[in-house]
Amino acid sequence: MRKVLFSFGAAAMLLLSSCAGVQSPVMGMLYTDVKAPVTATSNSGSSKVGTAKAGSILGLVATGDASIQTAAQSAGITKIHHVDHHSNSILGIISSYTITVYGE
Amino acid sequence: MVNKNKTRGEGKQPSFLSFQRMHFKHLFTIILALVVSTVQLIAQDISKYYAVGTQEPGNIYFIYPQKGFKTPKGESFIYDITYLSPQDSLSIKFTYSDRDLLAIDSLGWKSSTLTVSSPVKKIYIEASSKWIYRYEVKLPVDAMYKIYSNTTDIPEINLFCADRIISFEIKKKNWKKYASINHRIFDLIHLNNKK
Repeated sequence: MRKVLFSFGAAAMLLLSSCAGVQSPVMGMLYTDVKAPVTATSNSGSSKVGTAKAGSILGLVATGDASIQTAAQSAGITKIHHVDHHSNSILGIISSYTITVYGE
Repeated sequence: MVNKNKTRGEGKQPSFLSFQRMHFKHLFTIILALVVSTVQLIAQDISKYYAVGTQEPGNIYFIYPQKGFKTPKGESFIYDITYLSPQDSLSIKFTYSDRDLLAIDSLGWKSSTLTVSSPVKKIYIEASSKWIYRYEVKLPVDAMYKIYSNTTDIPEINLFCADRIISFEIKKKNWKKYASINHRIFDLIHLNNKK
């Protein structure tokens, strides 16, 4: 009985943890909170920062606009210095992907 | 000795459906426990609320967008904060949606002890089902540090337009959360600014 329950739980955990996967250089099955680079340019200086976000629930519903253009527009950035992203996922149930643009 | 099988309806075997239901109950409890423990583990970590980078002449700090302030009608005021150290002012960029066309002049924060306001600068205005206003305002760092230092003194945000003033309020619970996060970030900025 316990074995069945355990294998049931383990299988469900494995399935659920991958159902709302988020792009990240390293992934955690239970929890992901990773910041990583996207790109860098030769422009110098950054006094403005803008973000754009997309999210997913259970891998069933995914909404948002995590484009560099939206992030840059939100802060009025016309010259991009560099771009980072932040991936966050809790048990693969709730995931979010945030783009952060630095520039002037 | 008590026969456990007999207590479940005169020796009848549980149906497949009830067996499945029982498993889902346990599974749900396991997942809920994992979610709660993971959230509790990360609750005190403020690093996910801001980003920092090295930038001449100091550091550039960015506090990710925060919600909570709303008009009595439920329209949200979403804002983020950028601060380039060691400047005296920080930049608050905010988004507000309204059915009406507005001519926004300035923005002010008002607590029981402090009032700060400054003219706004337009970033863009978009047309959707409502008008989406994205503006920027520069406010003194020290004043904002003081506002965020008090988790019990709930401030009000006022958006001054040509023909009216739009006020935003925040729930006590939300203010307590965001004020304590921002206060810790401002503590960090203050410590790094010290020579």
